[in-house]
Amino acid sequence: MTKVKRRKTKSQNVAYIFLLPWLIGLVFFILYPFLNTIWLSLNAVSKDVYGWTYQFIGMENYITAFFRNSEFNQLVVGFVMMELTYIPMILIISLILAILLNSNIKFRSGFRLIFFFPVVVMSGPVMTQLRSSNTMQLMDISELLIFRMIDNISPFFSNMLINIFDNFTLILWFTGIPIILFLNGLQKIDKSLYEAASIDGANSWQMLWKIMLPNLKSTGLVVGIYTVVQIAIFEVNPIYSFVVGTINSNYTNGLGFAAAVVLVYSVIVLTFVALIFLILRTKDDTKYEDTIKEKQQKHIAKINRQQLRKMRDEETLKEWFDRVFKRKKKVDGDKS
Amino acid sequence: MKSKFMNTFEAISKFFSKVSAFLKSDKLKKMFMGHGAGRGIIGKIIIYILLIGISYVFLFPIIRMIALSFMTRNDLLSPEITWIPSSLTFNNFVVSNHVLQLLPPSWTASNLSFWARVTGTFTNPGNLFKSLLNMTILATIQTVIAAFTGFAFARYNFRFKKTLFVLLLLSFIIPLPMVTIPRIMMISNLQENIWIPIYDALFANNFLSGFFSRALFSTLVPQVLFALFGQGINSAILVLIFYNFFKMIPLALDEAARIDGATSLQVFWHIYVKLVVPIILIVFLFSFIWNWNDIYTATIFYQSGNPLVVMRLSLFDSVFADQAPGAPGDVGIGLISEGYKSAATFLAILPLLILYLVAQKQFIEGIERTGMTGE
Repeated sequence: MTKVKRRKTKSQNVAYIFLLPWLIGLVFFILYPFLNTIWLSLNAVSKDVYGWTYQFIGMENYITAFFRNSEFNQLVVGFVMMELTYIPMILIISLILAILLNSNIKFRSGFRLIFFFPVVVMSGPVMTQLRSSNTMQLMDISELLIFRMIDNISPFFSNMLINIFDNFTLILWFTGIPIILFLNGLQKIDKSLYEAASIDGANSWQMLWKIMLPNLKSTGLVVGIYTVVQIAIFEVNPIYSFVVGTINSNYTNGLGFAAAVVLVYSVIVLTFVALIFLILRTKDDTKYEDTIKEKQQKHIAKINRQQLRKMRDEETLKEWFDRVFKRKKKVDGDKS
Repeated sequence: MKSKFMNTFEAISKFFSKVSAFLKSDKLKKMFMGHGAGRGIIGKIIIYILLIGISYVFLFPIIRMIALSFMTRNDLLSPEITWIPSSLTFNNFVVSNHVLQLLPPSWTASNLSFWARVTGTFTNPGNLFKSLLNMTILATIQTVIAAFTGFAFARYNFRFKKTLFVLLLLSFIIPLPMVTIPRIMMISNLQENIWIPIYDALFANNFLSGFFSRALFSTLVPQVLFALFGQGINSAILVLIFYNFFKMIPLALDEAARIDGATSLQVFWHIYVKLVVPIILIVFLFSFIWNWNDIYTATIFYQSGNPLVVMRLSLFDSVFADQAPGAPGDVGIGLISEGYKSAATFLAILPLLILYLVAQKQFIEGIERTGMTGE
């Protein structure tokens, strides 16, 4: 008898072998630490010869951070301010630069080369050194008359302004990757859309608002989230050195406090990510109106379901047994 | 009969009407303004001015840094000199190279034979070569693991695929400090319970003790562990790059190979990897620069004796103060000048600048095709 070889469908679970290293990393270096940090922040953690010891102290660590530590509150405010001023600036500047680069000009790749290069060299110590030699400042605006007027009206706003002008180059340096992403998004827009609009008599200003920006929304979401994450872990932001310092100096006893600090910091970052998500997500607004026929069908289906439920509620044990048993028999009969 | 005066007047008025007709016509307007923004001459000039101006602001810190790094102390203090130093001097570079310990000491030491210099390179290779080696190790591991993960996501339909993919994206969004503390405790446990007993039993009292370190926190091991399990710096983006490129390869190739009896690993190696060699280079380069600039992980997991150049740069001021000669009571840090600092910064980013200029096309292409936008 000849052996019939049947082609087996390939098992897709081979994928798990390829995924294995990453999965282990996900569980041990992301998921477990994520939950553990929340737990640690409610504990007093100390290290002795026998290992780590935990003692549950509730919200004590947070109280220490907010009310006993003198600098933490200011740093939190500074951090929020920095994200608030930097993110819109970075998004707008990179969008403008991308639109400029997208127009029909020469040396485009040369400009792109310049705009992208900070991505390669940017790191905390380099920025600190460059800032210390005062090369990041666009211009000193604190002596200008208009600035003093603003300062009189609202010191908060003037602080923001001076922050922007002092670190203008730093803000520009964050735009490297966003420009490339926006440019890529712009080039993906269908050319026929512009043609159709210009035939209908739209000028380029209208095209910008009606065609470019709506199509760039999803890119904007990615860029926004990326920027928030980048700034959060960057050494120039005020809370960064406090977080690192707390982790490093409280190594033997006080990791619980460090966890609380880190948690507050992370909640801020994740709030910003959620905000950007809410602002820039592409909403699916299309609502499907049911036709009368569909409505009728839905209604009939609903009535049928109610009847069936009523029937099953009232049926006796014997009837139930018959129904289930018969159905099983039927299935068996089909198979043979 | 018309007078001469009337004739000339008519000629002039004709000329003016012609000129005004030309001025009113769309031709001139088109020439200068174009149909859309940025098409005409004026629009183009505005765009060029804007772009060149912003490029100048972009490059200003770097140009300033290069100019400062060639200046002597007198040049720095002189109000007349802002950009071009009065004389070319490399003294700043020599000093900052000494403080950062970049090049092998045997290269710069005097009175050594050529052979001694070569062997000295291997016994004490200096921070530059050490960090190049370390970052190459990390980047290689990260690239390989990212390729595996990207392949699995791109080509298989396994259970929980969507959930895992969302977790991949989440692992990028979660701020790194959030997961740092438990990681520290894990590595610390690993060190106390596993590594130190092994070390004491096997390496402590023989010639091997020089090769291994008793403390894991002063080695590259933690970072290697993270890279090995796909959680190094920005690993999620690297996975996404691979994912998008692997998805572009037609499935028919894959199936043809499988019908011929290839195993999954063979398919992965002979079809996928060999078709995306340029992308492997892109991912490697990104991984390299991100690891090079990743001061956060370096500060926490590899604090003492990290040869990473950027890490050395962050300690530049204090190391300089220690090494600078001075009478007791005279603070060495007073001798530090912007010239030294700029030279040190310049030296620290020079390898990256060279890398970027050589491979700029790959860098930009890599970000363009991450597929982070939309898909």
